[in-house]
Amino acid sequence: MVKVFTVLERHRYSALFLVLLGGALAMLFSRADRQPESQPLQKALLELSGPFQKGITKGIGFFEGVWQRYLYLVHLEEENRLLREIIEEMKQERIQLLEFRGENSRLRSLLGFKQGFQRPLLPAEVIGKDLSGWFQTVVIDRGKRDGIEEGMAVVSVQGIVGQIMESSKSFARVLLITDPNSAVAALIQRTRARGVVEGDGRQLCRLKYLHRSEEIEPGDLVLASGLDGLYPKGVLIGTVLRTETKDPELFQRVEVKPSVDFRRLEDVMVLCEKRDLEEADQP
Amino acid sequence: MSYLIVLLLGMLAALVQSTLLRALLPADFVPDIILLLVLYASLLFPVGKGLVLSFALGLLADLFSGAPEGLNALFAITLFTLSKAVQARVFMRGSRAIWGLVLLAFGLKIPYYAFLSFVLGLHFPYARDAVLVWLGEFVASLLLMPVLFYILSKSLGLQGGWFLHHQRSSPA
Repeated sequence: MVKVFTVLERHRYSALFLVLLGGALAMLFSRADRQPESQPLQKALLELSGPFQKGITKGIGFFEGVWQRYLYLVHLEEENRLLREIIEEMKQERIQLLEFRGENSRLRSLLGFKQGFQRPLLPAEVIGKDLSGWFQTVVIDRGKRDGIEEGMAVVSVQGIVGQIMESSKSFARVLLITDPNSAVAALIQRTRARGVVEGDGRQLCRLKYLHRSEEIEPGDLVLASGLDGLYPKGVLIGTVLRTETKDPELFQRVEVKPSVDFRRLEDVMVLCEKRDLEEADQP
Repeated sequence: MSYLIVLLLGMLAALVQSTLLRALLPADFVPDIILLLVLYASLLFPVGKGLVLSFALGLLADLFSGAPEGLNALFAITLFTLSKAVQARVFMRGSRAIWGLVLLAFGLKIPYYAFLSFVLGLHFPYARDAVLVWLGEFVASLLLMPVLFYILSKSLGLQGGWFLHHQRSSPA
């Protein structure tokens, strides 16, 4: 026994290294078996850091607001003129769209189609971003007590944002569609060609499994096809930026620019299941 | 006490980076503060407590990001051990030695992430994107390092410039 202690004493740093190595490996390889509900460390830190992140983000927002509204007014006149032009164009488009909406709703009711968003939307604010450049996630100020669960879809006015990857009591982490581990079933609006949109780990996405014979052009709109059962059909993902077809390959390489500007993302909406909201409302 | 200061500064840095720095810096320009702190710990602290501190810092990086728990903790203790091994064999003096250690750390990062992503079944970015993410992180970290080390040295009450404190380091 004494001999064992002597050996341990002599190699105490190696032993400590092995213990820590074993701990890290155990954490890494046990993640596959665990459910998102059982990640106490992640949830505790999310709950602990959330209020600080929220405070700092609010502070940044305040100073940004002061700067934008009162100090940085150099291009205001030119911007005003452009915005007036856009408003005029949009007025015309709105009239057309109202016509289309009326026609669409009549056709839908005739065919018995369901309305697009049947699930209630819960607004949330982005309060923090991922610490590392290798993962694309954000933290929002809504959690389990608001009815947020892992796997729920997150959208913004501009389009699809991502899905909830973990949620604590008051906060949640969202996996963005630009993360390489994210996948969205998609279709090209013009040609109805289907594929899967995956993140490139930076600010863009790639549309995969699109056959080389499909005619895709830069500027084509990419929408959620709804086949993954997570994102509602028809929600905008982005636009085709460029395509490339290499000779022996069966599929095209399509780069997609997300419609959401993730650098300026502030407000999002979580698509909640109705039953979740009802449960959360109960005391 | 100094271990606790580094750990607390690590937590503070993680908070600032996930909010203020990410809002101010370009999207691909994200410094790896935790990696810098691990290198700092390897220059300053003895093996035993330094290893535990590195593990804690790595775990902090895992918890503040979408990374699977253990990914950065494993890298942090490996990096700490390697850095100590280099210091034990190479006479290190001046800031060039520290730049060299940072280069070594970042040189290991891409193969490490690529290998573990493969083993764990995670998706790894395409080569071009991975290199761009890595390059942005590397340049941002190099620029931030003197400032961060200076703040750390002052917080710990060390004398000299930002790169001189490593003379107190204890080789493995």
